[in-house]
Amino acid sequence: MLLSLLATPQELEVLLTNKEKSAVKFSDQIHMYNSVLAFTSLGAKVDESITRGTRPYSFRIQGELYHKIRSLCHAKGQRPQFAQLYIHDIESEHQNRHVVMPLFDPTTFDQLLNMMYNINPYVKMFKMARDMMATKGASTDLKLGLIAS
Amino acid sequence: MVGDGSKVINRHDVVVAQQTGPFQRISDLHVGYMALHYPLLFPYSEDGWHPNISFNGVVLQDVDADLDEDHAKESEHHRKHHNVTMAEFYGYRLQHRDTDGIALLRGNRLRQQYIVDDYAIVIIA
Repeated sequence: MLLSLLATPQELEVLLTNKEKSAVKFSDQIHMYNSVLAFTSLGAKVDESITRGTRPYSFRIQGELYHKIRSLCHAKGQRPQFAQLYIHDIESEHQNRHVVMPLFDPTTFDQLLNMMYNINPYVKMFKMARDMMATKGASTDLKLGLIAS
Repeated sequence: MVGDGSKVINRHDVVVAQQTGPFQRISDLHVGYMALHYPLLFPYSEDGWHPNISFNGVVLQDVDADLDEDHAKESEHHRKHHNVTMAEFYGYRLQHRDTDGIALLRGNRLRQQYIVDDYAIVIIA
């Protein structure tokens, strides 16, 4: 028996089903919000020619598709991205993500980020890694392993 | 290392994020493959496919009770070789169920991308 998916958190359910302007806009941009909140990034050649313009949205790739995870800390001079954002300290976090995506609605985005912090188990693990780095100092060589149970 | 060492850990079981260095590619056989990439479709990080999901065994177990040794072995063999395949699992996930959360179903463009992703890992598996 496969487990069913848990009930969608209320804030996300409202954004996905409500007909209000902000929710409809979110529905159109959900793939962009997701890519900022995701832990991994996509390795694939996305066919841009088909995603531009006024035609219905279409996601087409060529060749190989894979997911990749970056190092826990961002390199000096670069902006933190993907899971690195959960490692980064919280105060600068919102700021960081707003810089990444100026098109986002700040209220919607904060709601989603709070949801991730409240319920997502991977976020908890990355926060633990952040705390360990803070106590042991940045010089420790820390690795975070996500082992399948 | 997990448990008493009886379980073989291979590259499919673990995703390692190092403190610094280049990015690591994630095996599409890791249970977190989809959840790590689609947090808005799987906000609770529900597990994806892994090789050891067996079919609901109720029927087989009922039959087992009255079998002689040879038949019991056969039945065991049958069970071991009848785990849910990747294509079956992702196909199951895509269908609508009243008991499931709605995020995956209502994910719009993200759902499209997820379906392409499903297809890509199933055809190379």
